[in-house]
Amino acid sequence: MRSKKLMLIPALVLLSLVLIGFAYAHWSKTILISGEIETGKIDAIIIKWFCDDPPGTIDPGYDKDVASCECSIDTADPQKAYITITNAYPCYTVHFSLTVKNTGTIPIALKEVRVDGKVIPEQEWTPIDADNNGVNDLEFYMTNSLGEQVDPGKAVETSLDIHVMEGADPGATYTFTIEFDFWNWNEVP
Amino acid sequence: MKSKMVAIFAALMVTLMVAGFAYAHWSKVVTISGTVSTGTFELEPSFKVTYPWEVPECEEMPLDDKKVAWMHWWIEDNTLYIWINNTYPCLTIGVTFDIENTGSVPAGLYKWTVTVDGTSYTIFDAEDIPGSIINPKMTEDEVEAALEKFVKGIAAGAVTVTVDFAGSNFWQIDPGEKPTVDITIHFEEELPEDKTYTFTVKLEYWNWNEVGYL
Repeated sequence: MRSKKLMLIPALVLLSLVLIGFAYAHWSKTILISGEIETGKIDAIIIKWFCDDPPGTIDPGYDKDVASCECSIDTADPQKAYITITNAYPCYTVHFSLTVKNTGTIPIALKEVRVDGKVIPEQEWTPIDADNNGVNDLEFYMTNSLGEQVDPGKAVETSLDIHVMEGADPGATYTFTIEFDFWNWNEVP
Repeated sequence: MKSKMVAIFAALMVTLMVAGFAYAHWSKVVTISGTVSTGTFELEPSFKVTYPWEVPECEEMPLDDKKVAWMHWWIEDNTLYIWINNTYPCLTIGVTFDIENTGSVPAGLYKWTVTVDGTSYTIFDAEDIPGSIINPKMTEDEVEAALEKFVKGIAAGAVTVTVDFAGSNFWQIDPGEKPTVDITIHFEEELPEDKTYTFTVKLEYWNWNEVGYL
């Protein structure tokens, strides 16, 4: 009888320890997920930019060299380019070609083209009042490029025409900004 | 427990993706800065009396030794004013008229009208070339003859003119060019006495590319 009691005591102690241990501590295992997501980048530069009436050539559609246009790409920032049209006159129309290369890692597509913030629809002459005098002076026409997918390393060519309207004044200077807005291709319809 | 954490993580990722999709897209804008400078369109007429002698602008001068007929002319803006007083039969006046393109864009003759004592005549109209007295397909001699005939017709024998363009091209005047015409006016025997004629000659030029025939 006594030896049975003695045997019960260590059993109770052990059970108590087990219960206490269970109450104050448990075994655990934590699973961690360490993630790294490297996003791609959208980047594009202008690699070609020219017009069909450089200085010293006959005006498009006519038999005289009256007006001329000069195109240049910013060497420090090839995302910028410049046009200068000189000695223009009503009905003068000049054609431009712009080639943009995808230098990023994500395919891109031309979402829209804007002139002074105004969206230029594709294949539709869009007049602009460049001097804000209530009379349109210039109009723009864009051809075949909206939505075209350009993979990394590839290039896309866009055509643009500028037409001097009857509302343009003699001896005037008009300035404007054309923006070609490229988006990640999957968000351009 | 484990599956709950995975679900939470997945839900978080999906939420971030959806939020990213809804509020932003990636884009790159390439920009072109443009400048268009328009040319200038300027024509300046000039005039000279060549016979019997030179009559300076803004000076009233006689046209004969006896100081019977007098002439006075001046140019204001783009208008040439000519005043000839006390003319008589057999009086002859020689003049030279030219138009200089002082602008930077070629000019094309669009319309040429003459009004004599309130009656208008169209010498040339780019919108009605077949109905015009002269047209660009005529030779210089033919144009001169047509103009001389026209004056003879409306002056009813009182005045005759001879016209000499001397190779000048009035149809199209390029920048820097200055076509000239020599005109000799002869007052004929049929010239009525004590009569005043008023006339206006209007030459309308447009930028050459819009006149339609050049």
